[in-house]
Amino acid sequence: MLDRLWFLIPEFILLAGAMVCAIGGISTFAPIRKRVGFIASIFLVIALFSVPYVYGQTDYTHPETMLPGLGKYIKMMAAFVGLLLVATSGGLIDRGYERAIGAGKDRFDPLRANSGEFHALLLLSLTGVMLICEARDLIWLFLALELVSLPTYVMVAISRWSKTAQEAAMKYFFLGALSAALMLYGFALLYVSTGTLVLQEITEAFSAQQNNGGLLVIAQVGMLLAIFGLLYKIAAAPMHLYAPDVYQGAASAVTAFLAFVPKTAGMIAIILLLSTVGWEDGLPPAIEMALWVVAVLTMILGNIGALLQRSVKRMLGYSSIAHSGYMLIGVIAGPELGLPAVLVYLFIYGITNTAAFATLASLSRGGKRVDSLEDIAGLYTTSPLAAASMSVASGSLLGIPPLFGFWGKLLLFAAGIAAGQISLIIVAAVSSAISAWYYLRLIGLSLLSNPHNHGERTKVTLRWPLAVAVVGACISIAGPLVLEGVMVDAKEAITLPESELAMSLPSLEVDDERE
Amino acid sequence: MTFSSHHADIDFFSSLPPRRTHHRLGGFFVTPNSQRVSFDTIPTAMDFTNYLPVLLIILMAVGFGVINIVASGLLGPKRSGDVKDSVYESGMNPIGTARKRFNVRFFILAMTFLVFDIEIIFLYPWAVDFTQLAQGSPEATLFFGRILFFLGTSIFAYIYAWKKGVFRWD
Amino acid sequence: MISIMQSIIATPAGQIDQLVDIVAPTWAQFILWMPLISLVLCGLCAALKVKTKAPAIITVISLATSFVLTLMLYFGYEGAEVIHIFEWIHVHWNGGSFISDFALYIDKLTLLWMLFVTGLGTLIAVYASEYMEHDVGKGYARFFAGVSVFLFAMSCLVMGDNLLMLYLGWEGVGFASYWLIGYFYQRPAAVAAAKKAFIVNRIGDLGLALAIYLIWSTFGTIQYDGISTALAAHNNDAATFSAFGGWTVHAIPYLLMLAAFGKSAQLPLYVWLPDAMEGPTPVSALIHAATMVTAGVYLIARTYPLFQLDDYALPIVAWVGGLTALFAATIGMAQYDIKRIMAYSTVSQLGYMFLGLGVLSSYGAAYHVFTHAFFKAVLFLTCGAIMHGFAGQLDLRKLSGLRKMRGWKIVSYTMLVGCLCLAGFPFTSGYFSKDAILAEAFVTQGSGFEILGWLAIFTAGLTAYYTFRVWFRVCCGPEYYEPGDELHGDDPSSFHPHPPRVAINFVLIAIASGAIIAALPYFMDNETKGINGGWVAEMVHDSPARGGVPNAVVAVVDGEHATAHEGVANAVVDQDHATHGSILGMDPHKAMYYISGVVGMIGLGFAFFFHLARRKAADSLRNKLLASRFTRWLPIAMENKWYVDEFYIAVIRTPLWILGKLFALIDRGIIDGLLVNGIAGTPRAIAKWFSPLHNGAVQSYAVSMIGGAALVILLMMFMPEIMSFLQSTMIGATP
Repeated sequence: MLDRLWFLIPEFILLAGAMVCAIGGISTFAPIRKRVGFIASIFLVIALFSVPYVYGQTDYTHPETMLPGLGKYIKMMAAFVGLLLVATSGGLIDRGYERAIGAGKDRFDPLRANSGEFHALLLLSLTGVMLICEARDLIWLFLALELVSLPTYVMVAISRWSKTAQEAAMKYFFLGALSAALMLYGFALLYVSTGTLVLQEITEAFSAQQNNGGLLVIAQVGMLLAIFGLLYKIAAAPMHLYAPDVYQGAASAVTAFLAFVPKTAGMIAIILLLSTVGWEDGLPPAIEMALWVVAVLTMILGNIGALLQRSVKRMLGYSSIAHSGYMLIGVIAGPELGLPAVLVYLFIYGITNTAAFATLASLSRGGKRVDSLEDIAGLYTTSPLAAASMSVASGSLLGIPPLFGFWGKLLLFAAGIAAGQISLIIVAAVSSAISAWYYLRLIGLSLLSNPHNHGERTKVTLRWPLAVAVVGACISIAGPLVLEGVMVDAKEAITLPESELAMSLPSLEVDDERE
Repeated sequence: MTFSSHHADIDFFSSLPPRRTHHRLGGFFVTPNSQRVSFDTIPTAMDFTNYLPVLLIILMAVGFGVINIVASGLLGPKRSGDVKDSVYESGMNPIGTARKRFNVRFFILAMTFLVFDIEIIFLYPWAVDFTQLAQGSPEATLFFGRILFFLGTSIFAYIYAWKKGVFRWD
Repeated sequence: MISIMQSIIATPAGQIDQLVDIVAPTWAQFILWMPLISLVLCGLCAALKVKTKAPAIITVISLATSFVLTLMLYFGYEGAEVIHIFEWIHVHWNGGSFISDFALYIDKLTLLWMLFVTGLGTLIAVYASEYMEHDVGKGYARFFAGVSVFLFAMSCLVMGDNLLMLYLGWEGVGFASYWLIGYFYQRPAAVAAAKKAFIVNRIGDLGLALAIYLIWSTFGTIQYDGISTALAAHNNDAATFSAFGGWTVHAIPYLLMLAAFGKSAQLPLYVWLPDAMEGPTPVSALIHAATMVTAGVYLIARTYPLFQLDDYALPIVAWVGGLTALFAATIGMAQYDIKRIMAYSTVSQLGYMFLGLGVLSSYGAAYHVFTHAFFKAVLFLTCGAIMHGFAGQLDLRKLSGLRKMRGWKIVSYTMLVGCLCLAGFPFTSGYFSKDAILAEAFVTQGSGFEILGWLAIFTAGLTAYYTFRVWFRVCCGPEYYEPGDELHGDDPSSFHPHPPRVAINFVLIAIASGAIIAALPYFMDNETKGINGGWVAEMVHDSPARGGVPNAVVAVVDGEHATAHEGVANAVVDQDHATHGSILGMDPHKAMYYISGVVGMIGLGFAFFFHLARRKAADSLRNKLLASRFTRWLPIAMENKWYVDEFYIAVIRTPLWILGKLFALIDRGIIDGLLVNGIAGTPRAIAKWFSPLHNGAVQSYAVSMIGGAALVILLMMFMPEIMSFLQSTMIGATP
C-alpha cells in the first residue's frame, strides 16, 4: 500500500499546492494574493522534479496498473505543460480588481477574488491527469477523470466576466455530465460482463472470453459506451459539439488548458481501457471500426468546421478536434508504434497549442481580448514577436516540416501505415491538406497582411502569455533536437506488462549506450 | 479491415463470465489484505439477488414518503383557509413567476452543510470498522491515516469557506 | 518508406563520423563563425538602434580575427585535411546514402582564396566604416550585417568540404549580394539592380544544383575527397566512367560552367554585374570585384578534374572567357561613369581568368584572381572616395585634375597604382598574372587557342586604353569639377569637395601596397620541385586544380609519371602534345613579356593622346565616327553596351512576360477558379451544410452527441448483420 502512495507523491505535491493557492488567493496580504500563480508554478516545478526521483527509486515496486511506465511520462508532461499554462493565465484573473484595490478605488473582498481558486483548480485538474496514470480500477479512473473535469467547469466560468463565459461553462458542465453518465454506463456494463472493476482482472476476463469465442457483446457495448463518454474529454466526433462554443467562450488561457488537459486525460483513459482488450490480435472489429469511424469523422468535421470561422479561438477549437482525430490513428495503430506516437503527439500538441492560445491571450485590441481574424491581421506591425510565435505555432500545428508538429504527425501517420490503416491515413492526409487553408491564413494574416484601418491596433498587453508563446514557439522550432529523447520516453511509457510486447520499437535503432 | 462474424451468433447473455471466488470492488477503498472487509464475497454482478439491498433502500425511500403523506393525512388536524390551502414552499410566496432568483448564499450554505454532512456519513462506518482492526497493526495505522487525510481535506474546505466569507450574511 | 523516415529520425544522434581527425586544427572553424557572430551582434545593434559606429568596430574585429586565423592556418599548414564541425545531413537507405557534413576542407587553394577574402574583407570593412558614416544609426548596422553575412557565406563556399556547403555559400553570397546591392532601397534603380543580380544568378544556381545532383548520382558522394577518390580509381578517364552512368560525366562540367558564368558574370550572364554598382562602393569593391565574382573561378578550379572528363568543356570555358574579356572591354571603352567602367573592366578581367582556366593555366587564373582582387579593390575604393567627395559625381567628363587638389593626392596615386596593374604595365602584379594566362594560351594547343591568345592580347591593349582614359581624365589635366546630385541640401555653387580622411586613406595605401607586393609571388620559389610559376602555382598545385600548373605531376599512368599538363591535354588537345606551342616562333613564356608590355604601352599611349594631351581629339574622333554612315554604329553600340540588355528584354523577358500573363490567366481562371477554389470550396460547402449542427443550443448538442454515439455503437454491433444483408441484396442469393 505504501508503494502505491509513494508513486502518488507528485499528486500530493500538487494537492498541497492547490490548498496553498486556494488559501493564499484570499489572503488579505496583497503580495501573496497577487503571486498565487507564482506559488502554483513553484509547486509544479517541485512536482516536475519529483517525478524522475520518484520513479527512479528501486525500493518501491510499482503497483499493478495497466501501464506502469505511463505515469512518469504523463506526469512530467502534465507538470511541464502545466507550467506553461499557469504562466499563460498570468495577469488574467483578478487583474483589474487588484489594480482597483491598489488604486484605492475598491476594497478587498475575498468573495470577489478568484485568482486563488483558479490556480487551485488548475492544479487539481492536473492532479487528476496524473492520477489517471495510476488508475488500477474503473472507479479510480472515473474519479480521476472527474477530478480533471470538474475544476475545468469552474475555470471556464470564472476566467472572464462575460456572459459568453458563463454560457460556455454551463454548456460544458451539462454536456460533461451527460458524457460522464454515458461513460459510467459503459463502466457498469464492463462490470456486468466481467464481474470486476480492476483493470487487470478485466484483462484476464477478456482474454478468457477471447479464448472462449470472442468478447461478449455486452462487454463490447460497455467498452464502446465508455469510450464514447471519454470522447467528450478529447473532443472527438460525435462528442465534439461543445468544443467550439466552449473554447470560444472561455478566456484564451483557459481554452489552452481545455485543449490540452482534458484531452490528455481522455486519451490516457482510452488507452488504459483499450489495453484491457489488447492490440495483439487486433482490437475487436466492432471497437476498431467504431474508432475508425470516430477518427475519420473527427478529422473531417474538425478541419472542415474550422474553415468557416471568423473567430480565431473557435477556429483553434475546431483544429483541436481535428488533432484528436489524428491521435486516434495512433490509438488504433496500437502499442508498438501508435501509442508512443500518441504520447509524443500529446506533448508536441500541448506545447504548440499552448503557444497559439498564449499569443491570443497576450493580445488585446481597444481594451478587449482579441478573438476575430480581423484582430490578428497585420499583427507584425505592432508586435513582431507575437506574430512570429503565432505563425510558428500555426505552422507546427499544421505540420510544416522542420517544426515539431511535423514530426508528431509523421510519427502518427507512420504508425498508421505500419498498422495497415491506409484508408485512415489517406483521410488524415486529405484533411491535413484542408487544414492548411486556415493555418496558413493565420500565418498570412499575422505576418503578411495589413492591419485593418478602422478601430485600434492590436497590442500586446500581457507579458507572461507572450513569454509562454515565445517559449512555445522556440520549442516548436528546436523541439526536433530532443525528439528522439521524447520518443524513447514515450516508448518506455507504453510497456504492456502482461502482453510481453517488445519494449521498444523494433525498427527504431536507439543507442542503448546513451541511456 | 475484415469483419469476422464470430460474435454474431452469441446471444446477449448466453455465456456468462466464469464465476470467481475472489472479487474485489476496487482497490482504493478496500485493502486487499484486510480480512475485515466484507465486500470480498460479492458474487458475480449478474446474480440479481445481490441487488436486494438496493431494492430495500428504494423501498425504504418510497415508503418514507408514502408513510409521511398518509400519516399526516390521517393524523393531522384539518382546518382550511386561504393560507392553509396554499402550497407550502419553505416560507416563500408560492404565487408568482417560477423563474425567480434565489440569493446565492442559500446555495453556498447548502454546500457548506454538505461538507460536514458527507464527513459524518463517512465517519460513521469508518468508526465501526476501525474498532475491529487489531490495534497498532499496519492496517489500523493506514486506516487511521486515511481518515485523517479525509478529515484534513474537510477541515481545509472549512477554513477556506470561512476565509472566503461564506458564513457572513450581509 | 518508414525505414527512410526512421533513419531520418535516428540519424541526429548517429555515430561519430570517422572523418574527425583529432589533430585537425578545429579552431579553424572560427574563421567561419566570426562573421556569423558579427552578424548576430550587428543584428542586435540594429534591434537596439545603436547610434554609434559599434557595428563597424564589431565587424572589423571579427573579420580581422578571421584573417589572423587564416594566416595561422596557412603557416601551420601540413597538407590537405578535413576539419569536421558537425554532422549536417546524413540520410541512409537501402544501398545508398547522402552525406553532407558541416566540415571544412583545407588545402592550399582554399587558403589562397581565404587569405585575400578575409584580408580584403577586413580592410574594406575599415574603409566602409568611414565611407558609410552618413548612415550611422540608420542603415549602418544593416550594412555591416550584410558584410558579415557575405563573409560567412563566402567562407562556407570556399572552405566547405563538400558541394552542398559550397552551394550553401553560393546561395549565401548571392543573398548577401542582393541585400547589399539593394542597400539604398529607396532608390528604384538599386532595387531593380538587386533583383536583376538575384534573378540572373538564379539561372546559374540552377546549373549548380543540377550539377550537384548529377555529381552525387554519378559518384555517390558530394565530398571533394570522395569525388577525387572516385576519379583516381578511374584514372581521370571519361571512357571508364561509363559505369557511372555515361552521359552524366559529360553534362556535369557544362552545368558547373553555367553556375560559374552566372556568378562570375561571363557571357551571356554578365548583365547583372555592371548594374550591381548601384550598391555602396565598398560592396562593389569587396563583393563585385575582389571576392564573390571569383567564386565561379574557384568552382571551376575546385572541380577541375571534372572538367577534364569532357573534351570540349575547357575550350568552351576558354572561349567564353576570351570573348567576354574582349566584349566587356569594348563596352568599358565607351562609358563615362567611372564606376561603370570599372564594372565592365571587372567582367573583362574575369573573362581573362576563365580564359586562363580554359587554356589549362589554372595557376594563371588563380594568380590573376589574387592580383585582380587587390588592384580592382583599390580602383573601386578610389572611385568610391571620389564619389563620396564629389557628391556622387562619377562622370569622367566632369572631373579633372584631382592630382593637384588638396587632400586628393593619395587617392590619385593609389588609383594610378591600380591602373598600372590593371593595364598590365611592365613589372606590376597585373602584368605578371596576365602574362601567365596569355602565354599559356599559346603554349596549350587547342581549339583555336592561338586566335584566342591574339584576341586576349588585343584586349590587353584595350584594357590599358580604357584604364588610363579614366586616370588621365580624372586625375590629370586642369583642375575642374562639377558636384554630383547627392548634395544633401548643399548649394551647388558653394560646394567644396571633401577629401577622404584617415581610414579611407589608410585602406587605400594598404591595398595599393598589396597590389604592388602581389607581383612578388611570381618570383618566389616553389617548395614543390619541378613546377613553374612561383608561389601561386605552389598554392594551386596542392589542390584538384593542379592540372593547370605547368610540369605538375598528377597521376601515374602506365608506370610513368605524366605531367598534369599532358594528362589533361590528352582530354583537351587532340594534337601531339609533345610539341610546345609557340608565338611568332618564340617561346610564349618569354615572348609574352615583351608583347604584352608593348601592347599595354600602345593602349596607354592612345589614352595619353586622347585624354590628356589632346582631349578634344577624343570628341572629334567620336564625332567623325558618328558622322560617317558606315561607322556610326560603333560608338553608339558601344555606348549602349551593344544593346545586350535590350536584346535580353526583347528576346527573353518580353516572351516570358507574355507567357507569364498567359499562365496567370490560366492560373486565375482555371486553376484558381475551377480547381483550387473548387477544391477549397467543397469543404466549405460541406462546412456550411454541417453548421446548423452548431446552433448553440445545449439540448440539440446533447441530442446530437448521444444520438451520434448511439448510431455508431448500434452500427458497430450490428455490422456483421448489415454486411451480410448488403451482400445478399447486392450480390443476390448466390452462396
